[in-house]
Amino acid sequence: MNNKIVFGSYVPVKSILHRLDPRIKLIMCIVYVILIFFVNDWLTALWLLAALFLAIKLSNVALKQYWQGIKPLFLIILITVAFQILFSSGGKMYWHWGIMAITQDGLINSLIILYRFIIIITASTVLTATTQTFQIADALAWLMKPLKVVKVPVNQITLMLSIALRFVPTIMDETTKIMKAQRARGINFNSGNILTRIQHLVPILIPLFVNSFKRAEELATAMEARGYDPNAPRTHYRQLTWHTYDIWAALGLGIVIIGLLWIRIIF
Amino acid sequence: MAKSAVTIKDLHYKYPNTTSEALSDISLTIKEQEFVAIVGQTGSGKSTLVSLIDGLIKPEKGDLNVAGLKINATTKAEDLSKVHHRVGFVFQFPEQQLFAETVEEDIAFGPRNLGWTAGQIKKSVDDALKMVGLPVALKTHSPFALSGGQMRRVAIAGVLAMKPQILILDEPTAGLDTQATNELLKLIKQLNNKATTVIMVTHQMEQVARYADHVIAMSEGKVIADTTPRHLFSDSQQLAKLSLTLPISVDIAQFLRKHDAKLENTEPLTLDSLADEIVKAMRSKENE
Repeated sequence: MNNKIVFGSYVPVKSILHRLDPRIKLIMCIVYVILIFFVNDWLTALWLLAALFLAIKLSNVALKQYWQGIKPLFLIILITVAFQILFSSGGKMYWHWGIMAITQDGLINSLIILYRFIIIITASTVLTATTQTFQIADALAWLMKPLKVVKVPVNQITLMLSIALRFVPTIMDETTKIMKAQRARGINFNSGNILTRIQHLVPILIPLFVNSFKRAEELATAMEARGYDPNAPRTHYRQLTWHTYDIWAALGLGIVIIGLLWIRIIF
Repeated sequence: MAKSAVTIKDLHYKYPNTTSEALSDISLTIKEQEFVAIVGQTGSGKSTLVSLIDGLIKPEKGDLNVAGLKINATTKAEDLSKVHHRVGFVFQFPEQQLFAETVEEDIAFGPRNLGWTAGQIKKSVDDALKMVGLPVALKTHSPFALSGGQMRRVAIAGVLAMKPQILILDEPTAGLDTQATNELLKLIKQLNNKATTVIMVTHQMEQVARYADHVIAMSEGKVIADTTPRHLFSDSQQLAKLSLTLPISVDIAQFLRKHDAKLENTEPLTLDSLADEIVKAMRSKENE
């Protein structure tokens, strides 16, 4: 298919953010997303936007590349925003037709939703662009450790997660291969109306599913043959260690939080 | 002189977002009814070359003429898909592309995409099943309930049903046992005898020696040798450079020659012809 940057793919360059411990990056991303919901006026919105821009600057990945990653999702965002504008009520009414109406509250709400969508997607793209998928899986495993106390099968969940992430590129390659093979059998993916285009998905999706199930079975057999025991304690080949710059990053996050609270209290 | 099925002139190709060319400056001619083997190490550009011949990707520079259709960098997508009416492509592990509920429907997929009539489709499905040696009764079975070898035959039947003038096969025997391999190669040879041009990517030098009339050896996106199998196997230096091995018959013949056996033909392409050579050499020794 095309080799454009996909939403959520890793960008292999060197930067301060790439070097950070994946655990602190994951925590920062989660906390930041929570903070987004505390935004209630222009000033707080700008403050968090500035923090995001700083992170983008530090990630050494061009803004254009982020935009390319987000672009495919933009249509969904726009549809959501349009619904929000047309179907929410309250405040002054500017226009209405049947059950649809454009109101002051609707406009403000949709603006907030637009802001949240873009910021949250960009922030998580910063995380995925600077952190390899296995690192994210490791970080998640670490973050879920306390859940072991309440008998959550953390090991199994993280294994499932890392296997799923591991096979994303494999499945992408396979999709390309199958599409090519079906094109060689005369199918034209770029023609026809929506209905035929949906029908054209069948010869791609079915082989993809069949092959994935086969592969999963083989993988399970191979793991069992090598003595995998889901309940045994696991050790890690890649050990995560904290560094001084991780502490600086945590401090930076602290500043963002305090800054937000300060703006909300003062103004 | 037979007409040419494929001509390629000054062809260049680069995959998007890569710096080095996958194919650079390729020029070659494949004649009608030829059995061509394409050899070379993994990543040498074999698959890219055959994808270009099948119009699955567009060249960056240069011209192709495939069964009378001209392809170059400015060819439109719809014209590119016309190539599929004339060229069939059997991918590696083709059984991984089966999708339909019945064998019949899967084989009919190609002809239906080409816009054939119901009668034509039915006939081509039956013909294709017969060609690959599967019973017609299998038509109503699910392709996923068949054995691995049968699945591959159904997949190949799906390509043959399109009645291609040029048949491309990318390592068709990978993962098959000896018997299935021999049967499949025999089938390909039969098709070749019935006027189909065959282009086969392979790593098996025995297959090259036994079946091909013409061999194209590739390395790092360039054609290194474009010659007959006999000529390729006589040049041991070039073979070493390409990291290709000799077919066993040639290997034994060269070993014998090194030990002063007087063989007339030092590149016997099959074990039978090697045996003949040895008999000849022994007889002439007796006569001395």
